[in-house]
Amino acid sequence: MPRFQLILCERTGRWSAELRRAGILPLRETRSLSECSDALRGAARAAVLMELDAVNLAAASEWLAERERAFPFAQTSVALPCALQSQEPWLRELGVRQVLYRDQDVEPFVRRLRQRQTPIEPSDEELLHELLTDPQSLRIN
Amino acid sequence: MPSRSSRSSLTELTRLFQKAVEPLYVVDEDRRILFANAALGEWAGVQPHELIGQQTNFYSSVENTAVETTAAEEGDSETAPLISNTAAPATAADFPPAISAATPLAGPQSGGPLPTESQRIRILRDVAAALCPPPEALAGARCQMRLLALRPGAAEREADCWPLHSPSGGCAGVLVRLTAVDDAPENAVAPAGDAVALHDRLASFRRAWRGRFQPGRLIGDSPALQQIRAQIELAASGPANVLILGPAGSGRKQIARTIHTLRDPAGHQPLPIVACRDADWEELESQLRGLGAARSTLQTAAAPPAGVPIGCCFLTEVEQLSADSQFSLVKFLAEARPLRIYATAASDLGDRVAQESFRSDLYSALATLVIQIPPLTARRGDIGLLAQAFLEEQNARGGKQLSGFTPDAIEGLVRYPWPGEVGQLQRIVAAAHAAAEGPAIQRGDLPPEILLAEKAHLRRRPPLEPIQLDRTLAELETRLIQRALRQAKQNKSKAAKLLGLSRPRLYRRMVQLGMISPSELVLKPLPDEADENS
Repeated sequence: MPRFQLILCERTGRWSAELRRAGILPLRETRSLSECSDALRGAARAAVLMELDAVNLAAASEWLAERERAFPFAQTSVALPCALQSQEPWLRELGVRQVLYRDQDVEPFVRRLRQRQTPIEPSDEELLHELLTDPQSLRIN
Repeated sequence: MPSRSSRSSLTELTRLFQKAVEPLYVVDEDRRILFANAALGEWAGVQPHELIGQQTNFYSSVENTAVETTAAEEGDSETAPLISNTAAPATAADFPPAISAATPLAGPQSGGPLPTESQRIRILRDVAAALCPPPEALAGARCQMRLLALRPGAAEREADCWPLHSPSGGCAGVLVRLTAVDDAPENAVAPAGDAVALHDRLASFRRAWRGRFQPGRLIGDSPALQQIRAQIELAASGPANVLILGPAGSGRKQIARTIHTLRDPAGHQPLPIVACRDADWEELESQLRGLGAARSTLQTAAAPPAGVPIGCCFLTEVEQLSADSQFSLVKFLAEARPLRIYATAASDLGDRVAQESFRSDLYSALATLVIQIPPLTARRGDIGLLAQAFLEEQNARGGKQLSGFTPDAIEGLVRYPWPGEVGQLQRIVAAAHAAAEGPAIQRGDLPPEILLAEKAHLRRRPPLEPIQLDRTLAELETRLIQRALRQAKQNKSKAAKLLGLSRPRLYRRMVQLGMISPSELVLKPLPDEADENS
């Protein structure tokens, strides 16, 4: 399993189609926040893209706050409908790195993801955290 | 064109609504406020005419924290002593001048500072957001929702939403009447449904989120933590940038957010995180510029006066910035409108500046005030308190309730080296809470890493004592010289012979070993030597 991977949490399938079109592989698709947590347990440094809407915003906020404690090295981005743009500062406060509103936002998102996917040696802190929280993730592939 | 009688009737209707003691308002189909009466203005803490035309959107404002803050100010909450420490108890003072007409608590009469234009706009936006009827009402269904208090001293209200239908059958608007929660007729109408529940859940989560960052949440009474508390108060009393240094997991973010919460208890100013790890300048810049975009979305186009910070940002792990990014950030900070910056970094950032791997001008820009968090092992006395706090956090989630830790469990925690700092302690307590079966966490309930570390500690060899080679040899030499002197009846020439030394060398050695003083080193010639010389 590569050290970086993308975990996508969405219901509609819209973003997985866009990301596949942009050539993002491997892509781990999940359909709920708990599935997303399970996926992160096996890849503590993965990038996460979550599709949010008015219905799951509250639950996702709680999940993001918990993620900071449980998976501090996971990099989280969200896809938001334009109507929820006012929520962006709040989501940034919870540690969201990028916010995607429309299809055009996929390209810069993918570009940055690829930059981060270039092999970067994890710091001692990261290795230690992974060892403490998920010893399986450190196995040699 | 309405006739005179209909105009008169309209005026009468408006007057009737205006005089009503119940807060009333009307929104149109586009969710804009068309009418708001004086009672609503008084309850919400704004002038009703300022609400006219405001767009309402159905989302939970972060700023609905008035109830919490009011409780604290009145001293009926456990958070009260914490908030009273702040230099700017901002809730009342942050309200617009309009409020001072509605409530004597705020505005110049109370000596509080007047809110800025941008604060006023934000408050109006938030009040309008809170008043948005649920989408079900705009879809034509009569429903109720709960409105949290929007200003200190106000009470929660039940909002009764009456959709007004157009001839085409669509919704032309909604008339909303607020009643006291106790007066709301039980089961008079169906609740608005899941959307309102989610709305309330989000608002409630945001209040809880803010509540996490009170000074009382910084557990421990070690001198190090007491110093940090004092520094937090100092940081909260002014606008200085704050740099928080410490190992990962030591609670750097918690401290930054605590300072921010003290500076802005009403939560008007978001604190977006700008992560420096694995980020190139392009990404950082987009995040930093995004702060401006987000603010302009929130505050409309009205820019604050020059010199007034337009926002805050929280740079995490700044030591991870590349040299290029450091340069660009310095330039950005010099050119941008004032930003209040919180930053975190590894403990050795000062050393990196000395080694020139981190720019000194960037360090100076960030480090107006520096808070250094010591590792958990440097304040082991706090571990018991922290563990108990984390255990009670688990209890608060419902389900299994545990009283605490057995003494040997605490001993195991105190001995552990905690490479993952407070964050690791929190995770370990959560794991032990899940594993425990008894009323308290026992040593056996702790995760294997703690138990293994304890076993390793017990099996550890006793520490080797250092060998003082010089001292030991000197002692040995002294004893041998003393023995030779005894055997030679204190005759130094004979003693020197016994030791295989010349007489002058024996004297020098005795001086070096402190057996005689240097003044005795003036050698007297032996009788036979004197004869030879003569």
